Amino acid sequence: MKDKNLNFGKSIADKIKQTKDQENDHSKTDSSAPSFDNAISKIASNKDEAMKEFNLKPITIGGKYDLEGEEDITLTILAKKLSGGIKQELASRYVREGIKRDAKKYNIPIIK
Amino acid sequence: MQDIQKLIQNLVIVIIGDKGGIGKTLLAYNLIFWLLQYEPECELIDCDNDQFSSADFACLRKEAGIYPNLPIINVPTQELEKYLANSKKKAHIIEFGKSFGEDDKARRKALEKAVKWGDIILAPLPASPVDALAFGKFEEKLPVEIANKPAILIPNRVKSAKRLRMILNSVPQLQYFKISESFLSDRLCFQDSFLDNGRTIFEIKPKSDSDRDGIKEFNKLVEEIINTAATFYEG
Repeated sequence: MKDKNLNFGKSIADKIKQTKDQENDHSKTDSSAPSFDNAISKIASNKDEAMKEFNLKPITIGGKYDLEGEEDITLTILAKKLSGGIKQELASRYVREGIKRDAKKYNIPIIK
Repeated sequence: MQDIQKLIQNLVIVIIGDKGGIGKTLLAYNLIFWLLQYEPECELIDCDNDQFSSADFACLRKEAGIYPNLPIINVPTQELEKYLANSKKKAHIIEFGKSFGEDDKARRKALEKAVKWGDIILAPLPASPVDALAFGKFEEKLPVEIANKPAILIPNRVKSAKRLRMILNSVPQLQYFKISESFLSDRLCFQDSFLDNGRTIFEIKPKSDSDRDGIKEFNKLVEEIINTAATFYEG
């Protein structure tokens, strides 16, 4: 098992409350964080510096998809983290889910 | 079978599918009967509002005086969260209706939430190539939280094990769902039990080998679901 379902064993009322809390956490953004567009351009202009500044580590994209434009998607995800749009612990799962969504959004081909 | 009492404490089973008539009611209706043996304070919430389904069959059996009454309630999807938040039941099965279209945002939202609350996610899959191929697309729409839960795809209306293997070979690799080893064959008893005053598959009097095999198949399936979930959570 990769991640625990932390709601397991809790009452349905607690499950609902916990889900709401998680959604609220995810929707919160750091007001001091740059916007997503700014984050993208900052990383794109000088990735090494931005990664060092924000203590980011490269994300390896694995799984069943081979990607063209992998670097662009990595940048997208880093930018999402940087702009507070995604929580650290969700990043790895986001990568898997986000690949297809972001690839479509940024017109990056996916090869099965 | 694993420690059932421990597993079913506050358990939420969510039954979903991308079409009508694929076996969601068959699964939900019989599972609530099974669950009732272990947890009297359980409930099946029927959000399948578009057609004659679990809540209607429960009424049939009540009118016919068949005991026990099955704890099944019809709840509109828009009311689901509010209803559950006030529920005092100890275990729930939530059965969703057929596919949500892009325009059916309320139902889609409710389903996404239910998947987040669920401890076990079940999806019946009619054993046909078209349905098998379509399921991959349906899976893509589900929230990522499903990755943290046992999600089981259950082949239904299987003509033969050989044909099932052939069909499953055509299914694209699924991200979240594991295909169960147990399956439900294309047997009359699975439909006819409903018509017998809303009896479950556990209550029918078998009249043929096919009926007896149907009961065995369902028992085997339930055992696999419980064992899969127990292994997942104990791991």
